[in-house]
Amino acid sequence: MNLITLGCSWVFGIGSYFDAENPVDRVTYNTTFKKGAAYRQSGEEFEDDTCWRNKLCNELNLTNINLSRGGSSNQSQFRRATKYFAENEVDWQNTVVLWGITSIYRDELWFNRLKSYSSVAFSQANIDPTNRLREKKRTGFDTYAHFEEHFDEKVFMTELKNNILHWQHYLDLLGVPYAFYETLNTTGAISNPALEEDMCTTLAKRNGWRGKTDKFHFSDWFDDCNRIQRLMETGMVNPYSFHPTRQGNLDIVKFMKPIVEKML
Amino acid sequence: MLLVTFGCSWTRGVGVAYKNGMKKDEYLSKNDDDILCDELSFRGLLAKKWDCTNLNFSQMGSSNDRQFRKATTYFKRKPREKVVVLWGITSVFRHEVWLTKNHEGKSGYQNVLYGHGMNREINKKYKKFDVNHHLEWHFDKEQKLKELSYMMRHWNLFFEALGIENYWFDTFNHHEYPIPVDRMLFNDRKYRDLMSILCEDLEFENYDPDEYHVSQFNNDDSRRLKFLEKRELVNPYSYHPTREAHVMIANLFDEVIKI
Repeated sequence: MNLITLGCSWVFGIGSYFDAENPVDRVTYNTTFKKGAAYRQSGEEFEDDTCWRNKLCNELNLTNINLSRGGSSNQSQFRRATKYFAENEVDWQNTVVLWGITSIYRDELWFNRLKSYSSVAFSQANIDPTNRLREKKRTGFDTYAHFEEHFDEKVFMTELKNNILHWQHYLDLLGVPYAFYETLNTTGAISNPALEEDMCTTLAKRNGWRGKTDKFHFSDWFDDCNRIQRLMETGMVNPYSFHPTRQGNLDIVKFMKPIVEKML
Repeated sequence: MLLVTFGCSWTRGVGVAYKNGMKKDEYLSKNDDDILCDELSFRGLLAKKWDCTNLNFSQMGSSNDRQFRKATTYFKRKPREKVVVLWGITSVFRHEVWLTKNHEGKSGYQNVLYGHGMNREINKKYKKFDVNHHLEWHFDKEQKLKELSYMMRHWNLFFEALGIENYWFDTFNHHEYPIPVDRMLFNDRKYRDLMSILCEDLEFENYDPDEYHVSQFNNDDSRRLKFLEKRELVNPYSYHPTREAHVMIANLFDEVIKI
């Protein structure tokens, strides 16, 4: 049985190699991150079982077809799914899909220089004019200007909802079980989410966060909300990129496992 | 039966308002007229011939992106009646952007057309879109075609599962799709796009793949278009098919789609 996973860094497993009980310094973490992203994408050395999706597949004897990527946008995930299904003979009868919806404050663009698509995030750093100039020189793209001129939260949300419904309809027609859930924030983008609240909030509540509302978490290496603060204090996310640690990933397995089991 | 159509100006029927000798101003005042387009375009003629309703999503200046967005929004459940989808692939030198504020302070989706680097000033002034920058940094024709073929395969499977009969056609350029796409019309032709077929049927076979037509009110990019202009099958102002050309196109579809 195949488990297709889609999502951003929280699904990909960025940071899962950080052990909160035996923490490394920032430099070591960053070096591992840089190596890890490349290796993990090729399924080589760093493709370990510390991240929850691999752990889950090992426990349930599933083959993981991973289409998630660190920093990716929802648009990137829709594109990756379309490409994968167009290029591969999928065994639909032996496939289930787990799809993590990420921040809507991201988009995706083709970059000639990279000869690939790259996701762009409307992060706090992009408001700084010096950063913007540097980014434009390097990538030919001014993220802040792009979002100012071409982003509208309501419109993007409507588009996201339409795309989710379309993919759910598509999978329904093919008879493929699926579970869509929000990863970083609960926004109501999914009409029938597999998790009542997003993955970050669920993890935070399991680890003692008692807040009712919180700021939006952008997941762009900033400690930008109370949930992340709590998760850092409890060793569930690392203090550098604020992604789930080895321990955080173990806890995620606990609440994601019943969702996947239900689909099998 | 319901005939659902997607495409750009050629499918919409822009140009059917033209009559020989018509002045430019008069033509431009009615070239996108709803009633004329719905009645005299090939989709209108087919709906009449096939005795069905035409639900049209094609639009002047539409990009392929816009068409996919419209389809995603529309097809939400299994249809109760027979549905045939006729979907025209347009120039890849276009895409759709959301504009938070245009020159009049209004927001909305906009298609940006940048074939051959044209419309720089208009795009910059009215759509906050930098054509030069986009072509230099973010545009790759081969990639666009790859993405298109993935999307077409995706929709083929979706329509099949929905029980909808769907057909694709290239509108005014023969595209070399990197992966085979089923349900593509006129595949037995040397060049399958409508413009080339109109030319071929009149024994003009001067197709040059480098002459990519972008349909931006300009005929400089294609000898095929100049030929059709001489034969009065496209008008001399916006270079869109005339009503006579639409009759020919409708017949082409009617020959290959058996209702």
